[in-house]
Amino acid sequence: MVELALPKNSKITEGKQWPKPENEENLREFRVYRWNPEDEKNPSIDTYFIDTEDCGPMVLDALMKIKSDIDTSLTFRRSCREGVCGSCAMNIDGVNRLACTTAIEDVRGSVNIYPLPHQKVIKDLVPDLKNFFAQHKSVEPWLHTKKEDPKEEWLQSKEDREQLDGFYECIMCACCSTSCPSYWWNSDKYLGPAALLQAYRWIIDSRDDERDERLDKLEDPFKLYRCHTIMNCAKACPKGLNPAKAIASIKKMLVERRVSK
Amino acid sequence: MTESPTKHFIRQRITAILNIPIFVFLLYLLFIIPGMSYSGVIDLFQKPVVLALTLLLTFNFSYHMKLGMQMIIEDYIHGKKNLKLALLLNNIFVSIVIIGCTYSLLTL
Repeated sequence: MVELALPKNSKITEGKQWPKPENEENLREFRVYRWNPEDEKNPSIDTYFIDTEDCGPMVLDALMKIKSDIDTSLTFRRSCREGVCGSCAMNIDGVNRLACTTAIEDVRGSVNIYPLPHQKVIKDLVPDLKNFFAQHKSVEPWLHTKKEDPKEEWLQSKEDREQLDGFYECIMCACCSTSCPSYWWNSDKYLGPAALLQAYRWIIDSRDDERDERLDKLEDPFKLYRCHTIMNCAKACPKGLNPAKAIASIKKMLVERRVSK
Repeated sequence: MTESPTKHFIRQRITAILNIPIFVFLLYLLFIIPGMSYSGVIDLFQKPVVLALTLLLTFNFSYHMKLGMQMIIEDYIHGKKNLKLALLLNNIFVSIVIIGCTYSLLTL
């Protein structure tokens, strides 16, 4: 059942306020979610102050500055710092986005940073994405063919390749799935926008021979049909993709298949 | 949910589209009935076209409601027993609405 009230141990408390640097001219306040599984305390919000003149322009730069200069215990994922790896996805100013492509100056007031919503938290800003990646694996995001392997590579016409534009660019950051209310309520059974976008990318690949089998696997009241076209996924995607469109296209294929039977 | 989810999806869309002209008919009824006498209203619903459209309205609205409520129940009620019970109550409620309205219309 839906839980309307948070358990006592998950209520967020006010955390530590770290000292302000001496130069107060370009100070920005960062309020960051903290939770450590090793102590028995509730999650808290720590407040840090950063001199933006002495820091890079992005939210990730500020987090790295906090970790290296103020509080080494702050934990978050990051890698490429240019919007390619998807590691630094988090909830910034109420929106799921990549810390490395979100400019500090684009956030008004204090910068509120939380982990991606509705996922178990491993520590601080690090969500547990095991289920998310297991769902990705379940759609078998690789080529299924019944033909003999070619000597060099599986060729595809330019037109067929263009069909994949807008679908293959997904970086699996989980911003879309964790912004979807349907995924919040049923993440154990509903595959979520990211996995379904990947499923669609392989369904429409001209080189793949198992379109029907892939559609059969998705024809389930929970795996696919929990999508209610809320569209948060398209709004959240930091790569500008539209998973809702991919999901609607899968539904359209299933309807066409059913009608033509 | 035992039926094909795609069938459920198709039925939900078809009943939704059908609801649009039926809703216009409902607005028409709501517009003309307040100015009519009791016997005039009974005469109106005894006309075969009006009776057929009103029965269609009852069935289509109720069935669409049943499909929508089923979706909401499946979204929010997770225990197997509770889910089955809620779906059963949904079916019973919609059946009562359809049977009650049909009986009322046919015995006017």
